[in-house]
Amino acid sequence: MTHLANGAWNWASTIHTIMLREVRCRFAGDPLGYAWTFLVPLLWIGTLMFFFTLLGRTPAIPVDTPTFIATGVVPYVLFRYTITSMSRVASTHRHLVNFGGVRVSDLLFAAALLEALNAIIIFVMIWVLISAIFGPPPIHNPLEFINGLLLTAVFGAAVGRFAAILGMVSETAKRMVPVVLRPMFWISGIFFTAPELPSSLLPYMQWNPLLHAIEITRSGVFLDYSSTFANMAVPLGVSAVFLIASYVMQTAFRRSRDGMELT
Amino acid sequence: MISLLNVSRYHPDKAQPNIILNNVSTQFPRKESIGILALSGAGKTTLARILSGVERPDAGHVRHHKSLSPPLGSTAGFHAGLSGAENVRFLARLLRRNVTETTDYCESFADIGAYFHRPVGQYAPVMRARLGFAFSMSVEFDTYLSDGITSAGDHGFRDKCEAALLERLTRSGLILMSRHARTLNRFCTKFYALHAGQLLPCSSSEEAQDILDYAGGYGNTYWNEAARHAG
Repeated sequence: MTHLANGAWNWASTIHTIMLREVRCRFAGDPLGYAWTFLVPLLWIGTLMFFFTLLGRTPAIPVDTPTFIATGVVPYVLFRYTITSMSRVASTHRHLVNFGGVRVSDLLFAAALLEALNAIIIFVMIWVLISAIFGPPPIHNPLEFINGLLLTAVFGAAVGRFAAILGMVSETAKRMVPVVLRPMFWISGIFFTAPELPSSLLPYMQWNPLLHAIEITRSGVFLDYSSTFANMAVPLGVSAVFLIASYVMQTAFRRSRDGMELT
Repeated sequence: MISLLNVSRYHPDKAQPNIILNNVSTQFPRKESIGILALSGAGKTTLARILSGVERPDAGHVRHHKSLSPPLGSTAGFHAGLSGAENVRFLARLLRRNVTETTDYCESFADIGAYFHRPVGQYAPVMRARLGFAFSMSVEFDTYLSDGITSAGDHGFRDKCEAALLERLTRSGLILMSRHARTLNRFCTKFYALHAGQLLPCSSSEEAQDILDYAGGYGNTYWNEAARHAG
């Protein structure tokens, strides 16, 4: 039992160290440093608000525009950052496998956990900012809201794991991942709700796990919005497929392009 | 004790696999200084990675104890954007060593002045090598692993490195892979020749050199063919 507890403690310490190293390394040399992680989502919200105003667009549900956009941007940022971060740590910190029994799986787990923590900080920052300007936006159903973010984190981690392993075995695939993911910004409900979509698109969009997760998040935040579209089985199911595929790939290839063990 | 049991490792090649280790079984005692003589390209780095557990063999098993060092003098774990001090702190944490003691030792041993607190990306190669070796010496291991490196940096610092390593070997072991018999003689007491996928025990580094000379260096295909047939 003590041996098990020691092992768990050592593993947690390793994950913590990798997370700290990633925080220090990510924007090393930049004067704003890690603050970029939190500034970029705020800039996205500001840009989307600008376009909403420019086009005279209002949210389909009776809520203020910043909160509506924030409930789309925060899950999207969590999803996208998780994938980017997991793909990056696999190369940035790969030499750590020589030190203290660090494995590729540890690097990927640390990256996913760090992004989940970042998303919490980003959400708190946005919530405080909106509260200061427009008054505190109530979260109608906190559990449903957390569920939405958790589903996003799990989906991001599953796709991130798949993308990271794929990138380690194929340079071409590594370059393709951001290209393939780019449309997700436009089709995941960041600036619209599912009921606004043309009915002809719904059969296709129901296969987008991120749209379901954002709909669940919004249902948790807004009193007047309960999505009939959202189904948590979609993000969970698709995440399971990506996770299984990543493990199959890990077992099949065993080693990365540079001979590193994919354990 | 580090044990290799029926270990095989091949590098894929279009024509035929390049044999690095072919059904090798041997044991390296924990605190003994082992020298492995091999030609360039014979698989020294691959063997070092297999021994350290970073790479798994294609067949067979490797058992290694927990107190085996990362490759001696390696700078691969340093991130260019972090200072020398930060890099050392993170690596010490990963190896579960006292962070303050390790950092102080590295700062003193590497002797690179204020650069220790500047990003490693700004270092000259010699300074980076100094820090790499300082970190290797800052952490006590039962067995040190070296892929040919026994010192680093400029002439004066090389002497300091070798003296530190020799002192450390009074209480620790070493597995040193090199293509220079003289280097092995200086640090090791037991010798092997790595050729055609086989680790051949030798009574001296000269005997190991003779085996490689007899095998005919890079051009000889006899041993490779023999190993392939055996495999």
